[in-house]
Amino acid sequence: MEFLVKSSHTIARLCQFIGGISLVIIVLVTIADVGARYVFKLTGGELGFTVKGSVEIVSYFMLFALLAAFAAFVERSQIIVDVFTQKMPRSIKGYMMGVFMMGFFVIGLVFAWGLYESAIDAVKFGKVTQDLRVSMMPIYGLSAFLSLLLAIRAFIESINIFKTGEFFDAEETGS
Amino acid sequence: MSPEVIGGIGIVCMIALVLFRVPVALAMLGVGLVGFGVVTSPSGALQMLKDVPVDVLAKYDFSAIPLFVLMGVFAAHSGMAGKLFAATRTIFGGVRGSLGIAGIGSSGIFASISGSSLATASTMTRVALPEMEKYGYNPGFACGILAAGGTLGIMIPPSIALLVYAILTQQSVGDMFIAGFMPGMLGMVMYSITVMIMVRWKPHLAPRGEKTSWKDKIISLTGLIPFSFIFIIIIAGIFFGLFTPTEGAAVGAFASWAYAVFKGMRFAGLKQSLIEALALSAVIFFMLLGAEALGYFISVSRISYTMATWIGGLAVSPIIVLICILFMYFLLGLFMDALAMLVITIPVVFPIILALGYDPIWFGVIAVLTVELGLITPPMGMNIFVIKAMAPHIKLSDMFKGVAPFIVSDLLRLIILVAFPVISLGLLSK
Repeated sequence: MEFLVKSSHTIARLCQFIGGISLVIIVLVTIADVGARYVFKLTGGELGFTVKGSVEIVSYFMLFALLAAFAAFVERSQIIVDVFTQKMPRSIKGYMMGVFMMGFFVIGLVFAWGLYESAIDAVKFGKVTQDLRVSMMPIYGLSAFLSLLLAIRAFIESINIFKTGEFFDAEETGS
Repeated sequence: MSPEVIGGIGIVCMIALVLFRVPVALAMLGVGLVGFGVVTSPSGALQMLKDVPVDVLAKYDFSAIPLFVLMGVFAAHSGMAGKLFAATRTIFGGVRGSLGIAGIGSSGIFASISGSSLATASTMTRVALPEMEKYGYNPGFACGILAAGGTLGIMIPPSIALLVYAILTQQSVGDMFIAGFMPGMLGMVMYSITVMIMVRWKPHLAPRGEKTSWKDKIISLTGLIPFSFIFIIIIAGIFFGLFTPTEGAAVGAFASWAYAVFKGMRFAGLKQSLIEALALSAVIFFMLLGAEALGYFISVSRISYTMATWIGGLAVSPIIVLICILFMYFLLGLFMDALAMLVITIPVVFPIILALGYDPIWFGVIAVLTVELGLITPPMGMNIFVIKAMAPHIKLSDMFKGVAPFIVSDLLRLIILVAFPVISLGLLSK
């Protein structure tokens, strides 16, 4: 079990890293795009460089950032209405949370499966992005990998909850 | 069984699941998937679930959300809030309840950068509550002030709730933000008046503040410069079409980060901010994924169209229907998260509002204001819980007592905004 928990933490840290880098890239690309556009305007078109494909860079890095965030924070990013179940024993709440994490495990698997199929299709039909003409295969591939990490983490968290009864309770932490 | 009946059963099931501790996102995804499968085909539902991540998470319009979240996190880490509170308390110095008014004012201004009610409440509590307690404020009243001040974040642009509403209903984000500005300002003024009335009525709640000279007041205005700068860049930029909401959010995030670096933020702070922004974004986008799946189901079941047609055929005035919808929001707000409530209800409620002929931007403002009430009303007042987590020595019941006058103020503001749509839409009539 200890190995699984350690693996879960390692996956979470990896996903935080991927998500953080993706967020920084989104900010920098957008800033560069805005800056380039205004330099272009101010110089009457003399300095005519633009950031090509900024919209799709932002879109796909947001996909990576959010899938990574899902995998990193799946157990603590759920909104739960607790008003009718406040008095429920903590052990039952934990059991329910374990079941819900299994739900996210299934969702992660379906996402990974769908994205994997899209990656295969991208290779088969030579699919590329609209502006940059980059192959869609690595985009779908990385997304499928991150979805798989979501499934793995949700599964480990679920097993851990069933085993230890410990789970993240937003009300207790106030977060 | 007709698709409409399946749609109705699906909505009832989803509400039941949410009330029995199923995470909101999972309940929406599950009901959306099963319902879509029953109305169309199981293979169609599976294909829908496979397509959802790219449809939602790679949608350019949505990219403004994590960037506004990041901007708020940088602002919270930069120490801006302390400077802001110091400036507003000097400006209102000498007035009875001045620290309370400063708490409201600084929450409202901070909200203009953070975009989030919970972030505003937690940041301002950290800064203002120790000062208010030190100067003899009634602890429950002080918490009530800060909880109410925090709710301004949901209305004063750039608000994440208004942004999500605009995207879900395909309205202009710029128009939505501009429409939220005056109601947000009205909230700030009415909360301040509430503080003044309360301290006049019950003087033991708050002492008179230290007197400050006009020179001090003018000098203290410099504390507002970083906020005003970032706020004006974003709002003016989006409103005048200089950049898209995503670009505005990126510029805001970059400016907040630059300020934070100037104030001493280093790599560890940057890392922490990115992690916090990712965690908050995950909460929002899990729900948006669920909303997308639920939206597909509601669309194929035609439940919202049928309801809109049915309500349109009723011999009741549209205002009665509107009041019923707002009352439903108020009740849901008693036990449900504000954003979750919007995401769940918009696919059903929005077509009805359009069928009744109401302005969708105006409805967005009053809907968000109504769900905002849920942040401070028992038993699920999230802002109160956030403050409780930071001030465990103050009783929850005292906090709810302290916030009660502000709930009355909010209800009054809601009536004013429903009666005078021009307050929300006035700045839009160009």
